[in-house]
Parts: sequence; structure tokens; C-alpha cells
Amino acid sequence: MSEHANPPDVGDLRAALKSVDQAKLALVAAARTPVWLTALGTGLLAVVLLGNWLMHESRSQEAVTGLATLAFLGLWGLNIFILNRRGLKVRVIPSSSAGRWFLLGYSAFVLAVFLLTGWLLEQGQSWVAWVSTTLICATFVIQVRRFPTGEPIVPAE
Amino acid sequence: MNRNGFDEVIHAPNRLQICAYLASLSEIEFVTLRDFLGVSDSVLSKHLKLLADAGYLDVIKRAENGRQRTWIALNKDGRRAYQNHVRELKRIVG
Repeated sequence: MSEHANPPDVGDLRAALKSVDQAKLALVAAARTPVWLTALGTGLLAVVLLGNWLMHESRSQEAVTGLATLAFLGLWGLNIFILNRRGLKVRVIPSSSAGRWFLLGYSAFVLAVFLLTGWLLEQGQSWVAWVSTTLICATFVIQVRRFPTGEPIVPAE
Repeated sequence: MNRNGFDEVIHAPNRLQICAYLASLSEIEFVTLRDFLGVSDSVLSKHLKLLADAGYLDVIKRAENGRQRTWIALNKDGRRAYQNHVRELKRIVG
């Protein structure tokens, strides 16, 4: 393979970059978690989070939270299975540095919410459990619907 | 083959798109990639062979549920070459 003799045309390069974005967007559409699975997963996540934060030593509540956790993990596995059937295997850790920073930022956000919620609950502010659950569930939906491959996609102009 | 990250093997339109699909995934099935690109099996095979010959991707054949499935994955060198190429395109475009 020889080096390109002429300097590359900027218009062609822009078109090439645009085609990269189009490929990523097509992939996002194909890898997007189905609505029913997202709704079910989000509901279970809310049960797990609220159960974890508002549990009052009740065995039945513990059992519900435990079952919801198992069901949530089961849905995660089902999503991987569905993607596999579609011929896609998504990376756990994104390959691009933007994707890694995105994952790191999201993890830091969730960790901060957990720490802050724990501290506020100790101060007797039980309302915070509902706010934090809403925040985490909302970002979860955005994550699985908008960024199913873990890559932040910003289409070229 | 490359100059400042610009890679002639990757730059061809179909191959650039193949790399863009593969870069976001761990693996993609041959038929899924073919449908994304809207090309024939033979055209895709030709592009994959060029990328494989350059040492950028791996072709993995697995028997799953009684049928053979062919999976394509960008390897470490391929990911680096693709990322360098896209970075170089962005640098030139400004």
C-alpha cells in the first residue's frame, strides 16, 4: 500500500468523518435496549435502590429487594443475549478515551449520589432516597437508550 | 502505509465504516456488518481480508446453537490505527 501522493481534500475528509458518525449512530440505533426491557429494568432498579435506602429491617422488604436485584441482573443478561442474537457484542469498557472518560464520569456521579444519599439519610432526610432514585433511574434510561455502546456520540456538523 | 496517523488501508470509505462499527464493539457478526454496510458478502470479505492482512482485525468462527457464526473483531493494533487515523482526519479538517 503506497502513501497518498496528493494532499487529501478537506471536503473528502469531512465526508469521511461524517460517515464515521453515521456508522456510530446506526450502531446506537441497533444496540439500543428495547423500550419494554428499559421500563422493566428501570422499575426493578428503583425497587432495588429504594429497598436499599429505605429498608427497615423487615424480612419481607429484604426478600423483595433481593428478588428485584436478581431480576435486574437477569434482565442485564437478557439484554446481552438479545444483542448477541442481533450479531453485536458490546464492550464492557469502551475502547476510546472519550468512552472511558464518559464511563468514569458516570461512575463518579453514581458514587457521589450514593455517598450523599447515605449521609443525608443519616441526618433523617428520608426524602433524599426518592430524589436519588429518580436521578439514578433517569440517567440509567439515558445511558441504555442514548449510549448503549458506552460511547458518547456527538455527530459532526 | 501511514503518515502521521493517516492510514491508507483504513481510509477507503467502506473500510473506515467497518472500523467505526468495530471500534465501538467487542465483536460484530459478519452478516450484521454486511447489512449495516449494504454490500454483498464478497465485497465485505474483500475489505475484511485487506484489514486482516494489515494485521488490524481478527475473524473468529464459532459454532453456536448448531450453526456456524462468523464474528469480526478489531484487535489492539487495529484500534490504535483507527483512532490515530480519525485523530489525523480531525487535525487536518481542523
